[in-house]
Amino acid sequence: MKRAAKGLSLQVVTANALVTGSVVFLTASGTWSRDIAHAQVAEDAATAEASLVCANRDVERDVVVEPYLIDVRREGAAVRPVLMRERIRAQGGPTIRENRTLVHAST
Amino acid sequence: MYRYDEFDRRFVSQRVEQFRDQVGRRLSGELTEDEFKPLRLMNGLYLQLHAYMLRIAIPYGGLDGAKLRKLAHIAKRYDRGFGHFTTRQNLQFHWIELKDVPEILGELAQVEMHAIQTSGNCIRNVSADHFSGAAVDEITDPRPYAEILRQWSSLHPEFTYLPRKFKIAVSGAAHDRAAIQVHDIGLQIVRDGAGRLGFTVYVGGGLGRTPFIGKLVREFLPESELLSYCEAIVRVYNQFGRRDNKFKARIKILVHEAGVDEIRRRIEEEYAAIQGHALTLPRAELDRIAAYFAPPAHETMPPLSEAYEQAQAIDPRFAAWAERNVAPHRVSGYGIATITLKGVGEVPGDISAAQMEAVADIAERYACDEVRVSHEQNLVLPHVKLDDLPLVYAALERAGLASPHAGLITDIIACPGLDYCALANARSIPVAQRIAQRFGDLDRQREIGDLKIKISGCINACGHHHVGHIGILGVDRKGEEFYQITLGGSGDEHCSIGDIVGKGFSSAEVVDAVETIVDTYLRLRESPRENFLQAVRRLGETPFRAALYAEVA
Ligand code: SF4
Repeated sequence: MKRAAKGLSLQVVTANALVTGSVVFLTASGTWSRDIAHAQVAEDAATAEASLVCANRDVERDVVVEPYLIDVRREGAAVRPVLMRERIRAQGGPTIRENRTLVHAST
Repeated sequence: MYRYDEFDRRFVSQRVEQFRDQVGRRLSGELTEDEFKPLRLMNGLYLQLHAYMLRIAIPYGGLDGAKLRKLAHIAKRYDRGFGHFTTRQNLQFHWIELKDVPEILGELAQVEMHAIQTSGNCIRNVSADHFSGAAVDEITDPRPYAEILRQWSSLHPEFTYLPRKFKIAVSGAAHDRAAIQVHDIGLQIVRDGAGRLGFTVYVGGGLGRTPFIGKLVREFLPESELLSYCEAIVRVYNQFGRRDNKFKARIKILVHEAGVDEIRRRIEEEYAAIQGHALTLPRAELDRIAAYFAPPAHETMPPLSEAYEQAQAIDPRFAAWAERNVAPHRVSGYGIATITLKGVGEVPGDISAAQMEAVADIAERYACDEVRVSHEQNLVLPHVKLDDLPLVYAALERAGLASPHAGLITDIIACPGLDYCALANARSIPVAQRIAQRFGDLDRQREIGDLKIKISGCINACGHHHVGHIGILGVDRKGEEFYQITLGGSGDEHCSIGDIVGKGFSSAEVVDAVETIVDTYLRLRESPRENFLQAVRRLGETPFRAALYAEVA
């Protein structure tokens, strides 16, 4: 599992939902959202670690699996992961722009 | 095709019920993730970047209409309307929800399919030549042996927890289309001086972090000895293979560290101890299994088909497809048709549910209800009458499956890479798509000729980049995607591992780099008859390196 380096300023907790496998982010109210815009952004290491503790409780409650912290940046109002891997997860699917295979799915 | 007997059927349905119970207990919280993870992996269920991925075994790549229709149904009902064929001749669904998996496995069992041993440190799906039973250069059909190996290795109690995964491939033809020399065990069917059937046995081939070509351990193994000898090999590996370091645990490392002579000695010693007992294959059993793979009832046809010739004369697009995608068949009047899944704008190996259904229709109607998955992520119709090929082509075209580029530069192998795979360092699919775009012009592709590009998104090498004529490996350089290029690899009977040409290229540069390599080849080849690989072998990397790094120097 790729963990974010400690000490970087902005972090959010991500995981996969147990039942669906979907990518989810921890919100300020302790719930999970599929939209990174709703994620709680920790501005220091202590807050980040506290969020991870909270996330791990949801592992025990069988809500999510494999939670970890990722580094993010704020870009205007948006929150954007630093690593490509996490950007791809956050966007909810592959980066493939053209998919002629799927054109044939609808015919 | 092999049909389940009562034992197989009971075994697979028990396994479905067992996993249904395990998923139920996981969802209710009775099992923790740590307890559940090894169980789900034993059933081919991985957690990828965006969702669960279910890897379904397709033994030696054999499918028929009913299986394809079932896969199409699963794609539509439980996934996002498509599936992905892999270099192990398997199929992956990338958008699966945990709660649906027991239902999916139940549906698969109805058509004699499952996901057992598609993960974990066991003997994985046995692969074989995708032209089996149809190739002109075939000594005998490798699938009966692959099936015997499958039965022997399924839930083999001694080999369920090997040091690492273990892959076996079988080829029955002179030309190796199954890349046997990069498998843990590679079996080449041969005849000895007396005309008896047997195997040349290679051990310790593999790609990944430390690629090795398999070492010859036995020039000739009589066919009845297949299981005794394989059991000896896997037992030696199980005993002596390293368990202290995951990256050194494959049999290739054992062979490399102990030396092939020492490994051969141990294998032969073990083989001598077990030879002549329960694992010797009786003639009757070999024949019983072979009967499942009896060739379909081919009609007696003239070698030349007027309909086929006519259609080529009239329709240049069909002629182009026939030239690249139709291979000669052992039976007069028949051909082997390759359906590539890499047209411009497509995702290598992906196939939509509608396309699966279209292929099922075509197979049932025109191709003796047989379809193969190739390790090159294409599909193959092994038995088509030449007379019917124009109709097959028309039906493929309607389904968007008639790209006439088998074996050309755009027929690219690409692993899922960072778009899906949790282990990836870089994306593969968009690179494959950009290369396909750049070389999209068919005349240019044909001018270039045979050229295999293979792309992996990380060093695990699922995209077989080491054996690509041009291999591309995605690496992570300080958070950026970079691509390392290798030249001169080949996965056939003249197997070679490609050499790294030099420093890597950024995502923006990599397609230009491929083009530079191709242009250099076109400039330096002796004639159009000298293909890319031959030219690289003759010239070495120097001229390519010079062309690639000229500006920098
Ligand atoms: S090569 Fe790496 S990135 Fe590609 S599928 Fe295999 S593990 Fe994933």
